[in-house]
Amino acid sequence: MLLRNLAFLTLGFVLLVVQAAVASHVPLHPFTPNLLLPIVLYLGMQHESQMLRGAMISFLLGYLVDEFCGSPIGLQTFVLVATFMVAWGAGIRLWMRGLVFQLGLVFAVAMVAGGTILALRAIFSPPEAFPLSMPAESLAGEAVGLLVADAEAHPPLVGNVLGIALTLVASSLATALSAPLVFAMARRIDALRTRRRDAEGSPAP
Amino acid sequence: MNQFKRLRDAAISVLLLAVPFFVLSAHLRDPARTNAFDQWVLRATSGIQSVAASTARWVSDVLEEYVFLVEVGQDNERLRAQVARLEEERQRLRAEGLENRRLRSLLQLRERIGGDVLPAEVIGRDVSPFFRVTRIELDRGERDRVQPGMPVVGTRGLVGQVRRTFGHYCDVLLVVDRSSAVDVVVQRTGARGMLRGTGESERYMSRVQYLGREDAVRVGDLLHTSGLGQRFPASILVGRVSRIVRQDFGLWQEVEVTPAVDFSTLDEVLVLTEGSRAQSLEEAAEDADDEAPRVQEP
Repeated sequence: MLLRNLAFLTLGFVLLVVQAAVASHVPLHPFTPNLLLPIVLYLGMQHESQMLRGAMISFLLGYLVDEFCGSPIGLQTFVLVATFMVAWGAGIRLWMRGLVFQLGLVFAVAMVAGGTILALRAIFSPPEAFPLSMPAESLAGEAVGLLVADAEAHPPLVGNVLGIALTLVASSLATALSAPLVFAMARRIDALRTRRRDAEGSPAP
Repeated sequence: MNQFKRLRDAAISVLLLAVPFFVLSAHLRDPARTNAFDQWVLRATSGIQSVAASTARWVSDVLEEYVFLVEVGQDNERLRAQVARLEEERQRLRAEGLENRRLRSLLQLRERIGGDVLPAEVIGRDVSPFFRVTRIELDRGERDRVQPGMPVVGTRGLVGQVRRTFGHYCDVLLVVDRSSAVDVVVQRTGARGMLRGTGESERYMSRVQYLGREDAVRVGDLLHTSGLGQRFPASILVGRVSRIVRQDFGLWQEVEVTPAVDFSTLDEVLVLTEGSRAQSLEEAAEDADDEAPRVQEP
């Protein structure tokens, strides 16, 4: 079981590295996928695994993202643990519903996760740290600026709202499209574990 | 036991959710507005954060190093191509520089000779079995008023004379040709002789005829045209004495001369037309007149 947990952590790390390497050659924005979200969703859907282990892995994956991607410490950690909890609690059997359902579910979860990130930053961040003039990349910053800044002094711009919405949708779409591949890798890890368990349990020839 | 385990898992899961929430709260909050709990969280997490940040930095450095190594191969390919291109450009510039230098020398020669000179390019060469040039063709001919007998000079000295002319080109008789004869003077001693080509196919060589045995010529002496015979202007470098054979009998000594011009690398020359020869001969005569009284003074 420990090996499985380590395998999922390694998978998350490798995916982050691959994404960083690809992003350094191909500009992904705004189609930036969150490759760790499908892993967490996968763990949440595996009811035969223990909740505590899944939550721990989600916690560590989130911390990995926070540490390596420069987001505020705790932001992705909280979002990924929360996503795992919701997925585990919902009890959906992902594999029974087909590819379209998988894509739709991941897209919806990615949208909610993105919205949660925006909300958390809006709650905790001081408004002056997120001026309206921030570039389009700082999605959360602009959203917070729109939510908490003085509307009279800084009237919200329609372009910013539209940009945030489009970025959120594009990012969620990229996450959904990359999810089948991540699911396949996660399934392969579980398949290896099952094969090993079967081999250990089978009688010697 | 099962109930206890379930409660424990639930508690830890809630803790896993609460910890990042409060850490995030403490980190994102305005420092002026942090409370005691935020400060405690920041203190508690700072150690872990420091270790994690160092680890992340180390891993990031390792990966960057790897990516760097991967990209080094591509950089090498690109730089190799760039080096090849720059080398080609360097060679071209070098060739242009040499050509520029040759043309500059030719221009200086033209100014020095003065009068009516015609720049010409070598457009053809006859080569001996030993890869020695025996004849050259220039891109000037009858239409450029080039006539047989006109001297041809290069930047280093006398090349020869025009032998035959055609419409747009002409043949040049080199000073090393067996049928070439040039009246020369040894610069150091003033001794005169007739330079004749040997026509050897394996080396560029001429001999000076009618050079008296008593003339103290040395190996290395420079030979210039004398200007006599009115075919070649005076004071054009012809060659350098490379070998002297003095015999105990006879009136003359045998002197071998290596021509000043390397015919193998000749590209641009000047054809001295009638005007330039006349002017040069006049200047030579004036020089002779100027020198005459000084010789008589003592």
